[in-house]
Amino acid sequence: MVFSSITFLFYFLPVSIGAYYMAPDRFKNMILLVVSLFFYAWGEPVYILLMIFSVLMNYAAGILLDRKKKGARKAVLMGAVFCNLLLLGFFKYADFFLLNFSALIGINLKPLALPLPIGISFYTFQALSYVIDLYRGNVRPQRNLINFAMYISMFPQLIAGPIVRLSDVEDKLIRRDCSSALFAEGVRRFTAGLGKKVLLANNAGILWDTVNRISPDELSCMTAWLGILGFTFQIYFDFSGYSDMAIGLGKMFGFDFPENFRYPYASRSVTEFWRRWHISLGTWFREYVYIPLGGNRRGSVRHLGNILTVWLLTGLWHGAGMNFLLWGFYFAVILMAEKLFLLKVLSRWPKIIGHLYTMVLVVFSWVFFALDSLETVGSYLCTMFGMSAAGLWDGQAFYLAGSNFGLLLILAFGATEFPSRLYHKCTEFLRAAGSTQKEESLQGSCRRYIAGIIGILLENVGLAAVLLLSIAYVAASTYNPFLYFRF
Amino acid sequence: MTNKKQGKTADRISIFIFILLICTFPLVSFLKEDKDFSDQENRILASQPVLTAEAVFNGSYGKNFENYVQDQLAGRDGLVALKTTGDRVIGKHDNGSVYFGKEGMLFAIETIETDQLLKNTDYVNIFSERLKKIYALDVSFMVVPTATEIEKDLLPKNAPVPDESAAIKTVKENFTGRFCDVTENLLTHRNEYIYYRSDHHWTTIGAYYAYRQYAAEILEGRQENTFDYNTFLPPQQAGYEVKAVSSSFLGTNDSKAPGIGTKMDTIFVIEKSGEEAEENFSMYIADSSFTSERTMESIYDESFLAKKDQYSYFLSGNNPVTVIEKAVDEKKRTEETGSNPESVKNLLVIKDSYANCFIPFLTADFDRIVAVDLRYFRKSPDELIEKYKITDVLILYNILNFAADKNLIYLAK
Repeated sequence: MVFSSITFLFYFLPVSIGAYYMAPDRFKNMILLVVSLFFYAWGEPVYILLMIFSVLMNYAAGILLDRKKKGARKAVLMGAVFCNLLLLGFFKYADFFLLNFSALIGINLKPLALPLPIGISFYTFQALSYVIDLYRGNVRPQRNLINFAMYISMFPQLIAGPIVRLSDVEDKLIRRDCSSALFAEGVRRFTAGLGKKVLLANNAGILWDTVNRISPDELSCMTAWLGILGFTFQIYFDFSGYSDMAIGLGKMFGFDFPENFRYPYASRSVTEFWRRWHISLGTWFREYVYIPLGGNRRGSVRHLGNILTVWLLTGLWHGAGMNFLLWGFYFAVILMAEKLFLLKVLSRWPKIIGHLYTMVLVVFSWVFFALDSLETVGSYLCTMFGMSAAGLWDGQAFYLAGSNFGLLLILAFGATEFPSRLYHKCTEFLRAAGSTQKEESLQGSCRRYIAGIIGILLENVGLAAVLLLSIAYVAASTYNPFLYFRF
Repeated sequence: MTNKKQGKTADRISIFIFILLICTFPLVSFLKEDKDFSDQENRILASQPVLTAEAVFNGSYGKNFENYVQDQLAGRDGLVALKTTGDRVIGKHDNGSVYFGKEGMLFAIETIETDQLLKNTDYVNIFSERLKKIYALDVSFMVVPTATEIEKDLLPKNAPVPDESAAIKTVKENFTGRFCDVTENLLTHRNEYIYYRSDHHWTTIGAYYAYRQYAAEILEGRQENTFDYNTFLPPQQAGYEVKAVSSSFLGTNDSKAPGIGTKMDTIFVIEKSGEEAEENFSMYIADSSFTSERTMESIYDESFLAKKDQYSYFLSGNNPVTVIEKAVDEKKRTEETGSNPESVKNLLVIKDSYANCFIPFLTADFDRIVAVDLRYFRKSPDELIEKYKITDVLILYNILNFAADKNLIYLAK
């Protein structure tokens, strides 16, 4: 079940919220667990067993880690890490390895073609962080199975993150206050995320799909740029919108999840970009791979090797395919160059150069990400460099540019921090408009009151509009006219 | 103090709006009666799935439930219209299915696959040569451009559309029989109301001009390019009576952009004025095996004017086989055919829906018209040639259907 569906918005969510708030406090975790398991079982009911196994295995590892002596603890940790990676490896990467292995030694192995269990990349990483943190003594073991199962399977962050570490929510698992302020904050955050996903990402996706339907060597250079620009915005608004919805839902149930995106497209270097993009994943790899490998403290050769390892793994984490591996490698090379000299050079140049440099490299990276065959990636890149029979531009490029002009402006504006700053400036202004004078004249208090009301009105009209428009786009996506004959 | 209070009020209002929206839609959807069929989308809507253990475990219940709540969502048509408004406000020139043209014209977004087009032309050639050899019949062929080609000026600037003229030229060059190319003719009359704004069909007026050319070239045997298309006067000035039967037609292109607010189209019937119009026709409609038949008193089906799909007023829509005959009694027919078999003309039309408003004109020239829609007939039409004593054959498609249809292979069988 995806958040941007009728089933989720109008059936799952109201029932979950209703059940959660009607239940007495001691049952709230149980309710969240039940609805989360239901959520997980919705698409592929069988995989619920996988989830239950993962929960029980990591729960047992936690209990064992707490009891065992030092030597045995390491074995338990290794066992748990191995089991988690095995699950992920089998369900996500089996076919990738089979395919490449059989190509390598020249035999023909049949792919398993298993459907990917939703969210497995996310909850496995979450479980891994738990056992490792526990081993390091950074968190306390979870003895309450319901609380632990709820932490692993919690539906808001289950399918697209953020990857929540236990230390982020440890206290909240036991006690959380649900206030109307927090719930309202959650509503606003969720609505913003839904709007980003449904209104912005999906529309940017239509632009990309239009271009992607055509073979890259028939595209003009300008069309190829427009298409990948569409994908650039699609993936950002889709992913960050999903994180916003997760964080918003978390707030509605009393949690505070970590931020996952901080305007990555406003970065001035690729290093900075990766500190702002999918923050919880970056943190995970830093904490559990990069630093254990020695980070930057074991000489520069080792340092570069560590960067390469982390980025190849990051690439593979995004998908089981050569293009993702290449995508990771691409970033590894850029990050190494930045560590070695580029960051110093960039810091001396005007800001705008840094912005442009980052955006161009990031846009190119999405070509590897969006196209799954290396051949297509190659010819798409050629077209972007103007080496295409269709030339630098054609009628289609002008049509797409004209038809999507308004959309692209909104997307570019929306990817910066500006809208959020504007929102805060407005609320601040309205607040300040009222509370200036200490001696309450009748006029002053009236002004304050009116400014406050205008603020409330604006905010909520905006909220209702985004929500309703998003619902309209969700409903319209299922609109499917059948035009010729009724059998 | 006031600010804090107002902050709380603001929070409460936000929560209220959110809860109201996510609860009202399912509640109203649940309380209202389920619809079986959507006129707007021209399809059967999903109904409530049956809850069984098996369906739950194999995941099909989930999928069916999703389809059900989507299809039966309260206010669905309104929401879809709101989405169209959103697309327009943001300045888009299309919504993925139709281009928003000038003067309220909508154009379906289509492509032409050259491979299938060439294959289909081959099938037509095989058919035409076989008919010539076995039955000594001449096949004439008309491929009609759509509004996208003829009303190009009204498309959004630079809109990528297939080159219909080039495709028709390809067919014309590869076809070995008599080809009737109406492109120039329709271009000459493009300022008249020859295509619907809201539908992918041509109007009866468009069909009328094509018929005039067909009559001149095929029936009278005049050479193409020996006449000026301007000499085809508008129907009113050429001895035809033009009658509006509906002024509330919103067709398929409008369905693809619900809420766009297209001006409703008018459907005309054009008939020869005077005595000739007095003749009556009956229409048999049969499935491909002739097991279910129905007879109608007219070639126009009034019942469709009250429905969404008003274009089906002509010939009662797309049916496997449609036989139109002059309503004379059997005895008289036998006498006539018996006494003068040479004068009887029976036409076989292999067609798509573009022919539906074209065929009524042919009733003036033929005693019997047998129309076959290969999409639903799905076998070789040869058996009909003997059964109905066919004397003439016409293949009529619009270029997009002709390039896309996978059923023309039955002609080569």
